Amino acid sequence: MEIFKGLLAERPVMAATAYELLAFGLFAAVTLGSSLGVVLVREVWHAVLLLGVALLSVAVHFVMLQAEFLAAMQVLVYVGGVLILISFAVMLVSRGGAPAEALASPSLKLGSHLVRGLGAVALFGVLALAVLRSAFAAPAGFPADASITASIGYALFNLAGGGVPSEGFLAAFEIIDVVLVAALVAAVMLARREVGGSVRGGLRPDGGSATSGPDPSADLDGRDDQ
Amino acid sequence: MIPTSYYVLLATAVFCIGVFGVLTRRNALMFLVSVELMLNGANINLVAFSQLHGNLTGQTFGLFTLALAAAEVAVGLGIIMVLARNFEDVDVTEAVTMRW
Repeated sequence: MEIFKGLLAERPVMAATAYELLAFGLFAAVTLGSSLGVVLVREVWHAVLLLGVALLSVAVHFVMLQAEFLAAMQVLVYVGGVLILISFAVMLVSRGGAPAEALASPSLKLGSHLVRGLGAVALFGVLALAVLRSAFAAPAGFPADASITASIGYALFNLAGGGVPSEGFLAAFEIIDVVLVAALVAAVMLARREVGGSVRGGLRPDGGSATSGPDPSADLDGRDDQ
Repeated sequence: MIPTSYYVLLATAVFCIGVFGVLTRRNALMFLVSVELMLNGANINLVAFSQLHGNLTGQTFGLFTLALAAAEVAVGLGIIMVLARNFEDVDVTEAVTMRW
């Protein structure tokens, strides 16, 4: 009993337990595996679904890093908003009907086009070397009795309060709502169809003279995405 | 607690997978998805360093990253819709009419 009491008391400053490392390793494997799947899978729709897995596992990492509010926002904003938006786009863009065999299974697309990705692998090598050669202190963590969500709320409005130190973010908070409005208005403007049923065609090779709306028989998916 | 360097390594890997996707794919939607991966890698770093220093600045900034990612996706999808209408394709190597 004495041993357990000691363990519980020491928990905030203790080094990682085996269970923590096990959970981290499992979810890191999920994150890395689904992220690799996102960029390697042939079918875009499968890539989007794998992105959902990756985003959810990142939310798990946030919970393990004592960022519960950010984890909830990750699920709400990313999985509930961004992923749905991207799924809409996939369905709107690939109207032509994908080839049946491409939808059968999420096959990996390995081939010579991956050579260009060597730059990314080299970047990872350099960054990983830099990380492994630098010494980080043990994580300080947050006090067990502090309410992290409340402290984030205070920090967003430059208010004193909460138990955890942070900078004030009132200016950034005000700026980002202008950014959000501008982005959403711009997105509506871009995706909107003109009154006469024509679409914006200024970028067409023919100067946009034949802009009578997309041809329903246009085979958007006839070409593979690679 | 898990050492911060593990999380930084994980974030580096997720970011570089996103860079890999941008470099190797040609579908504009895959670009958008890869950029989401990169933003998530950056967010893991912000939250991990927030815990390392016991300071909430990183977590609060991560919230702003989330909001910016949502805005970026909205604009990116508008651009992709225009691309699909104008070129009947979302292949980024097809849209070359503004090249001189």
